[in-house]
Amino acid sequence: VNAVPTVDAESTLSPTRARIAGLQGRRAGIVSRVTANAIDLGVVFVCYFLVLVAWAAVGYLATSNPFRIPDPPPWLHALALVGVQILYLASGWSGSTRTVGKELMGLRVVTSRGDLLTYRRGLVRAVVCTFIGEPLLLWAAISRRNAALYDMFLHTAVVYDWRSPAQVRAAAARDPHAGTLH
Amino acid sequence: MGNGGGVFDSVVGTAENLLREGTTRAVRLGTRVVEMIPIDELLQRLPIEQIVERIPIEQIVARIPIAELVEQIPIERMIARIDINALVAQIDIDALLARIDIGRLVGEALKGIDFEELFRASTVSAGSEVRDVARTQTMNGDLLVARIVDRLLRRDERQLDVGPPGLAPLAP
Repeated sequence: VNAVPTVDAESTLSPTRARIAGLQGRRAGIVSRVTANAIDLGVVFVCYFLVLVAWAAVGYLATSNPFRIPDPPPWLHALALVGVQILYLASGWSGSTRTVGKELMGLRVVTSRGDLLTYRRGLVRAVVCTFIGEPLLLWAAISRRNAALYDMFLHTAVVYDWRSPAQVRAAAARDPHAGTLH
Repeated sequence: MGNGGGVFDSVVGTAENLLREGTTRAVRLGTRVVEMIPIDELLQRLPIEQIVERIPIEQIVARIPIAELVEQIPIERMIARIDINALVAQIDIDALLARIDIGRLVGEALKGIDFEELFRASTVSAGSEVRDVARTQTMNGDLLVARIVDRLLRRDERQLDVGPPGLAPLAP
């Protein structure tokens, strides 16, 4: 299962697996995307909690104060959460990496041509999605190309990609367009 | 003429007797000569090892068509003639088991198993299956929602191509 199959290989698969194989590289629908986003939101909260724990650990080791999780005002909580989410999404969407939600749901963010996102475009997409992402994502249920509204002006797409990291690395080694869908 | 024939027969008979007696004596003489030869001493004096070393065994073996010889052996017929049930019936299983140190055998067998790797592999496999089921279910959800919306809007199927189809390796 280490080789990337061709369309001909689909004929040897079971009907379900053949259907799944046929959808690889095609635009994912709203159910997969919302599920992946929900998982990523949970991961962001976990990451933020770990940041708070790390902050408390540094304070405990650097000072004589007791170990205490910091409790900033709500506005600072919100600001820090937004910052963590933007960094998490930008790093997860650009290049050949994936966020946890996208990895679990077998999705990948690419350009409308199927190329991997640059960090700059990933960062812009992360900012947009953090503030107004979910309402704009609902358009994917109606769009004929499963595109959220921000996908249209950012020229991005979310596609099915069940390849493992090892298979993506192998594809990158074969192809100078590392991990792209072309 | 009658006397002439009798003399001839007499001469022939005498010749045959002489020949037979000569042959018998020659054989006896040969036997005595052979018995007088010290075979054991001669054999001990022979440089047998040197002679054997000079025999090109490998070349001789290389010339033997072993594959053809093996092919000519009627293995199936030989096996067919063996009464397996009779052979098995003769085995005293209890006595055989009594001679086996089951505890040591099981211990050695368990030593060879990497339980940590086995557990890790089975866990990863189970995790992958759960993940694939979740992916498949959400994928089916995508298709279902798209079908419902497209039917409500009375339009054709969606255009979802971005990359080439059949991208990910999938086991049959």
